[in-house]
Amino acid sequence: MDLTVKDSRINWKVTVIVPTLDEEETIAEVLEQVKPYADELIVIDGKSEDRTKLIANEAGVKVVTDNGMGKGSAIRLGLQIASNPIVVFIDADGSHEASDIPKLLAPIRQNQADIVIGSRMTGGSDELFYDAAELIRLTGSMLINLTINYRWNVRLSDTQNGYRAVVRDAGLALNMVENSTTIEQEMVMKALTCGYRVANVPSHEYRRKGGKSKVIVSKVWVKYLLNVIRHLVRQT
Amino acid sequence: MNILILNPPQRDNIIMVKEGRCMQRKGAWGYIMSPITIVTMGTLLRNNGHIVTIKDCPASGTSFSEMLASIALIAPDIVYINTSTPTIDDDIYAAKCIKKQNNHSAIIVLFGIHPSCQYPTLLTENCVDFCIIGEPEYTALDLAASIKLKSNLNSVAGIAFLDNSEKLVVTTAREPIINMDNLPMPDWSFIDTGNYRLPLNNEKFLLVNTNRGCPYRCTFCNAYVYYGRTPRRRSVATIIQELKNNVELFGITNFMFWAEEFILDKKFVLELCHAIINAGLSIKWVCNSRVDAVDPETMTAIRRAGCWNIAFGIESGNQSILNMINKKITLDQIRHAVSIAKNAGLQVTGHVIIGFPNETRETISNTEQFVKSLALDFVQYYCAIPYPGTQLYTDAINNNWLTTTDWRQFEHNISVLNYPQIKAKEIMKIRRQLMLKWYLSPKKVINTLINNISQPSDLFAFISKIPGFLRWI
Repeated sequence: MDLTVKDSRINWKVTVIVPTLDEEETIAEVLEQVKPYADELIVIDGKSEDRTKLIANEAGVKVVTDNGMGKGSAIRLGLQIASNPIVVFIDADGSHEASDIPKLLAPIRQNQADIVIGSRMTGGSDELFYDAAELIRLTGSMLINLTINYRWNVRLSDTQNGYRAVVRDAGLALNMVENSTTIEQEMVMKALTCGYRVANVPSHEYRRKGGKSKVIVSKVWVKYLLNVIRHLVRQT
Repeated sequence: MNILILNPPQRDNIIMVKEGRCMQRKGAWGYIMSPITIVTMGTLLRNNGHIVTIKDCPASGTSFSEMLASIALIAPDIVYINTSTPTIDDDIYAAKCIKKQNNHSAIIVLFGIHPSCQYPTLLTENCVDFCIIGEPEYTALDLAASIKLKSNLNSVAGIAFLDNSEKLVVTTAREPIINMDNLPMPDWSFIDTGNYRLPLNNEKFLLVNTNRGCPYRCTFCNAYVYYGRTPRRRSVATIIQELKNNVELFGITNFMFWAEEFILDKKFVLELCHAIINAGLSIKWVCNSRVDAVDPETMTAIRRAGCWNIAFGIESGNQSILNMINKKITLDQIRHAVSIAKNAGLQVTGHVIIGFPNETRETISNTEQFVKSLALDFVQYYCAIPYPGTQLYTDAINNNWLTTTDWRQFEHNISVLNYPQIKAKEIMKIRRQLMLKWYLSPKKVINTLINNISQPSDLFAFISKIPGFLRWI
């Protein structure tokens, strides 16, 4: 029987999870950039039909194929299979700055946060302001931020960014159920309900370097809205 | 032999729950636990040919004089008295009265954690003939046999007594019951099960012993005195059979799985849950666990098998206090465990203690903030009590922290420890404030009512328990 207490967070190692779906144009570069910061690097592929898996394999990175239900299922699987106490999620489209990983890790290792999200509001974004769809997306995400901030009495500037570091046990404890990208706000709301500490650090978002986004605002906004309402009325 | 197993009442009419390590007022939770040790012991003695009567006076509302009158009629040869630290004075008083009225014919035996540690002092009371040290069931049986056959008492393991020359004799230590399936299933027809009801919905409930023994060495805990440090458990089949009996013979479907920590062996817990579902048992139960034993698979399994509330020993919200009390858990583990349990659909109870050595106003405030941030449904704040048998007791004696030697004061809502940096009175005051803050929050009150009250009579039963609860606070 293990009667020892876990060691301090300072020494906690990191698993970086890169969820992919048809990202052959950017995956090689992203993996290359992330490698120096990862004690373990795993690509979770949602059944890509292009060369994504092949490229990742060639780069010597472990590739796991999930059920292809969406980013949510990839994140849940990632938390389960990661072998380190901190799990970092980074997008495969090259929009995130890999050298920001230490910034994401710092509050966790200093025991000041359990989930740290890269904030595009304080770090800036090349993407959010291009067209009407982006304006709607930005407005919607700001409204969700406000709702979360008032409901749980926190002050977060970005709750939607997929670029985040999570304490593995905390992520697992949340019993998340969302299959799509709504898992990102689900994670924040459930974590706050359970008393986990969520923090933001500035991180710049670049324009997608290749491939296509799978989030079409006009198709998903209802899902986001319903998801927020569900968590607002949830008891725990 | 004509045997009486007695749980004496309190002279001041405070109702105390006395079940092994559990020594608290009825008011603390609004319930009296069904006395599983007494009933198991009674069943064992009766199965071995003794005539057994059980009297659980606090539960049946029997007063001292009523108790004495009925004992005069029973005229027992041996009286086993269930004791606890805060009630020991009354337990001794009961022993004295029984001795006196029965012309010193009844042999008085004390059992419980308190006599297991304090037997040298207790035996000097001339009304006490024997003290049982540790796990009581088989010791009680062997002692009864030895008294009947007038054989050598030294051969009965696990007892202490004074010999003819008033010299203290402590026999060899009793080995823990390794095969717990040898213990009989408690025959609840010994008592009126209607006296033991859940606080919120007023339904009858019973304790079911699943496992005994805890390998951990927390400085404030006295459980090892009773059940030792070797974990032992009953077989899944036996537990299922007992649950079935309780449902079919007594019509009771609410249970508390009684163990130092229910989830010590994950495989066992999963098997048991599986068996409960397979047996088609529609039961509701509560259990406890250490936070480091919690994982989503187990929590989901217990929820499916009918568990609705799990209790964790959180103890403190300050890591250095947790380390000092040797609890071997981290704040992270606590938070994860509460979150996993909540997200599996369970209600979660947290047990929190303030007033440990090294405790300051700041560490108590850490605890308050931490507890507030957890998604708990129920919280009990206790004062750290240096029960005999604990490391805390030894430390308190050595450092002269004790404010009193009156055992009545060794109750969870009273602090008897004065430290240089914080005094007992202040610890008690803060504890009271913390309890009030938690339970007077309108959100908590509403949530509790919504989650637990399904019909008007429940509400009435619930309201009737509030005065007792407030007195305990």
